[in-house]
Amino acid sequence: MTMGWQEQLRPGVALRGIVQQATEALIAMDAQRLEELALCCADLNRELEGARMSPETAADFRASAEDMELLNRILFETRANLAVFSRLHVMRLGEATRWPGTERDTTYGDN
Amino acid sequence: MGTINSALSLITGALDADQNALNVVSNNVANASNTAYTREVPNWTENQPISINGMAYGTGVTVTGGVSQRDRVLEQRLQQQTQASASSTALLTALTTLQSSFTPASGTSTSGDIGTDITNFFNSHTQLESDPTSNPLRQQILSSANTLAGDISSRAASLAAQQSSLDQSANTVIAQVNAISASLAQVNVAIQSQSPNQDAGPLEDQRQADLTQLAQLIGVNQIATEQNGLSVTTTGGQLLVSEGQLFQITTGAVNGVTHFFVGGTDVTSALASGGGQIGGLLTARDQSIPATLASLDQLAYGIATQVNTVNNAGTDLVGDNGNAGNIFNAPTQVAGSAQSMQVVLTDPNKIAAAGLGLGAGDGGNAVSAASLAAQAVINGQTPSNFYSNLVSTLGATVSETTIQGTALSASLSQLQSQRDSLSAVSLNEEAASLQEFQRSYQAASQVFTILNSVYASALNLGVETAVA
Repeated sequence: MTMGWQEQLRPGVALRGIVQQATEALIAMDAQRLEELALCCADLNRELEGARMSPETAADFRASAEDMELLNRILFETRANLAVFSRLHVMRLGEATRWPGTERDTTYGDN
Repeated sequence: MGTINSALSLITGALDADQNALNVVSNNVANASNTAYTREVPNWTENQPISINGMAYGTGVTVTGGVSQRDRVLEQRLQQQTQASASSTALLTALTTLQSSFTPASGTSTSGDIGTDITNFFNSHTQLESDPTSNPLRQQILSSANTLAGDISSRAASLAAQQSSLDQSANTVIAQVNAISASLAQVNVAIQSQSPNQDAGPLEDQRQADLTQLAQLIGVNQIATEQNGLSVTTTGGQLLVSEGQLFQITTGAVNGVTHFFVGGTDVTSALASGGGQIGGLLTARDQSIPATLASLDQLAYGIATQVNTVNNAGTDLVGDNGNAGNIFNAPTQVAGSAQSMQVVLTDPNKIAAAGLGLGAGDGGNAVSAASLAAQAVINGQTPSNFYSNLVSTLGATVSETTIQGTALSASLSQLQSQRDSLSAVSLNEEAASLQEFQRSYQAASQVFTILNSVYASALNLGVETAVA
């Protein structure tokens, strides 16, 4: 999975694409996808380390500024929601303990 | 015999309980498309065991209705974010309208663009310098002055109209808030009388639906009270609903705009910062538009006074020295300068192109007028830069509000997913529950049949029967 993302995103750096994908994943609270994107970012950092930033990369960074700001705001709001999510997680765990095998099928939230 | 009777009674109770549980599931399925409905689960309660000769015997189970699956902390967070999101959306809508007043439609001419008007006006003075006696060039100055003044005053009028429209919208929102608050007070009374010690099910759903609607409109806080009651205050702390008691928001005009009062206290500014649609509307009405209008006033005041001063410092074509007259009407104060801006000079010969006391062929004063374009005459900036800063500040505010609105909407989406996973009806889960209760019902029926057979055998004990 990780290689797939990397191959898709590496040409032209495509930082903006990563940021937009991460924003979507964060809204959907898709932990697996966020993890993949984090690996892409780690690779990107390694590529950029020590290398002189190309004009394309610099333009990509500038174009990503607004998307980064949005991601930052959504992270902030998600952090504020965490207390509620944790409480629900504990409730669900309690439910599952009382009724083994009846844990509700949740798509989001427990990650 | 007593034991068989007990077992029969016990299994009859089980059949009743399963039937009730099936009713709860049926109700969930029936409300699957009702977004205001909260999923219920059967409330199974073990009956008190009885003790005979020191031995405890179970007495079965009872289903005492359904229990709504809701979490108050989640609901409150949802409502907080709904308030913030609704406020942001209303503000963004108003700001976008405001911004469009200053942005010429793309792909069209720059007609109506004040920035272009400013440039054209000062350029027309530059052109006059080359031929100071030219009537067409003088006419050109008056024409460009008229365009500039017309665009600034019409823009100011359009801002005033938008302010008035927001004022009306705010009034409408407050009328809705009062109506929902009245409904909440009624629901509170019903809940306190019917379900003082437990979740009120459909009534609680109705209360939550009212609170959600209220959160869309206004920033509120909830305070749980005794016997399952609820008080609702504005985020500023003014009571709107105290259990069954209602406190209406009233309106009154202050300096031409509507202000809002709760019990005699002016809560207008608290409502603006409190959230909900009213928060966005009042922020736009009382902060964004006045700030933009004030900048436009500064621009109009600065241009009119500076240009008039220069025109009265030269010699016009009819020979008036230092007394050619004003090109624009002279504003007496900054406030209102934009809306009242107009050209008062009608005779092109009264444009003082020549330096003071110099002949008609001189263009020295036209140069002075043209040079105003490059001078920091408005709040330390050139007229063009001042205007372009006004537009770019507005653009930055719109961009900032857009990002904030998107983030809030994302947060709301996360919370709604959580709410749906907890409180919405999942048909798959209900189908599984139906099967489970159906099997349980069948098993109880089977036990009943067997007990019936045992009972019949017991009744026939001692009766002679033919042996084959």
